Amino acid sequence: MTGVSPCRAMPLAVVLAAACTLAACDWRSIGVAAVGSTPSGREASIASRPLYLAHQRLSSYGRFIVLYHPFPDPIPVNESFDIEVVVRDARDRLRAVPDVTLGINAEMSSHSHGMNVKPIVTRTSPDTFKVEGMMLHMPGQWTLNVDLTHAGITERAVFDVVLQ
Amino acid sequence: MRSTRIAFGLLCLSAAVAAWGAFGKRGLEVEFTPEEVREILHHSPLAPPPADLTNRVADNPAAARFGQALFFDGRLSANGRVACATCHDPAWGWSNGQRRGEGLGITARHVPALWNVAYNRWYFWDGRADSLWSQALQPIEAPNEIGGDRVAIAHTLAADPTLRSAYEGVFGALPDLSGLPAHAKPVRQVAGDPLQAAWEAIPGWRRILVNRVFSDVGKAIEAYERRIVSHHSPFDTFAEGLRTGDRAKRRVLSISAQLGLKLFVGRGNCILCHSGPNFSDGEFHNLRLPQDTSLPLDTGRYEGVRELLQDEFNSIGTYSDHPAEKRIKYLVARADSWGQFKTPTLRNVAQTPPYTHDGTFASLEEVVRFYSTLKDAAPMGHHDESILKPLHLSEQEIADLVAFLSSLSGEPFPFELQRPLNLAGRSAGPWEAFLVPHQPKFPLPATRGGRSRELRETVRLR
Repeated sequence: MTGVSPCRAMPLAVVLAAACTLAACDWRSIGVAAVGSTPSGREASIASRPLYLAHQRLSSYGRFIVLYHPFPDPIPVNESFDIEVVVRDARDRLRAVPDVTLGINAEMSSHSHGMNVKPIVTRTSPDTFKVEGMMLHMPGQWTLNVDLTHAGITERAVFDVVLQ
Repeated sequence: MRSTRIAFGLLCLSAAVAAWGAFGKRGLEVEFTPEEVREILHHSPLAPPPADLTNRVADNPAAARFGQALFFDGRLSANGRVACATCHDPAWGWSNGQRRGEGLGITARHVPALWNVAYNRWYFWDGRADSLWSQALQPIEAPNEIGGDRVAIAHTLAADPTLRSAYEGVFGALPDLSGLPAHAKPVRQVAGDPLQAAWEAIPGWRRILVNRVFSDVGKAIEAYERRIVSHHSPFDTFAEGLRTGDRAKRRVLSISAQLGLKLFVGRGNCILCHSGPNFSDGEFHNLRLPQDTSLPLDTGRYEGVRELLQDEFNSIGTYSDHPAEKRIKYLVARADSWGQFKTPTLRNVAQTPPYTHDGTFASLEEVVRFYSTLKDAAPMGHHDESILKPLHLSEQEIADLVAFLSSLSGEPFPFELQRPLNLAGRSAGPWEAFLVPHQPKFPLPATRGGRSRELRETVRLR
């Protein structure tokens, strides 16, 4: 019986094995856990939480890494939703920035309007803010602007959100 | 012979091309792209109305019967002859067919139709109420509408055994009203008003009891109005056909209406605001309608937010059955809400001319033509949203859009819900027996553009 030669099968087997390994992993936590040294207990609890890499941006001056997670996900059109925003030091992604304040708004620049609501921001942990009462009332392209103020300087992280 | 055959073939080919040009895309069926189908299916079917937790009797049948009786009862008014149905006339699509409302006076805005009000998030054109029951209370006490007052209404309920029984069957015993003045209500911004003085003379705890009765009246009216639902339109049948592949259901919509639907979800961008199964986002926009400088400036949503937050009957107030309701918790008056008005539903829109918050347009064709050209549109302000762009529609496209909008008319509404209700249980007389012919007291304004309208003979309840 003819078959694939071992020399050809080996690279294929390696590739398949790697693919299976990645598929079995929570890829969303790899980007955080791989950075820095082995975390301690409390830092480990921060680092091990799943983070949505698609909703991650550096702030405008590069001091902060900002991640958000909407509830529900995906963001509904014309219905109220909440957001959890995680803010960390861009130079050390395991470190929170305790004295940073957060403001948030959303706008449709193509229509020259923002939201009809003013959400309420609450800090729930050293690196996490809960934003309640967001509403994007029209389908289309929105910009989510997260403003972070620290030591008198405000930086902005901008996220594009497309609602259908 | 050969050249003849060739010429004949060319002639047939030319005829076929000409026929396709004339009838091609208007043939037997309109093709929709997958994206268009996805958008269309977002607009049907219409689910039952969402619950209103601020009104514990919102879906109570006995409350709805009581509310229907109140809706058509002129005794809520100052002269005993104006009711909710005076302006929200079922014969006129639950509006009144005119540019303005006419109760005891003329209203500043067009009467909004009541079709599918249960699906609204905000009420009135400016959203100054956040529940259907609190909305019902404002016209009852407005001096240019029903002109009643809450203390007199409480006395009316107590004095009529049928109304009293209906009220107490839903809400419990009426409070003791002895010693209260015949008429009293809070009157804002009018110094020295006798009704305000009478209201202030009532002890606080008794004012709360009167307010409770008044809010219950609104809640009963809401229970009735939640039943005024339009659905199962030809469009819904078409959407079902699109969903299931049933070509017979697809043919319910004319080719013209189908092409209009294609425009609606496509180039027309109508779904930016008229979105979802109720064909309204329930929010506020500025259409830059032509300005009538003879009328006072209407700030719309901007002032509406302020009034809503001050309303003692709002969803987080004492009389709400769910004050934890967080609907208005995040509300703020924004500069760009100046001149914005609520997007109305398009279900049954063909039944409710004229259109827009001030009745600017007498017909759907006029509305579509405005969107096509933006002729005479007000200039864009510094804070205005820039959604509107002229669509440059052809005459056929305008007709197609109007045909589609007309396909949103739902199945016939039950007659027994369109008439006064006799709570005593005797068989009710015909609708007309409750009406008397009436000539309007005030000259009604013409439609914009100088075209005059025939004065409609309005009717009032006996």
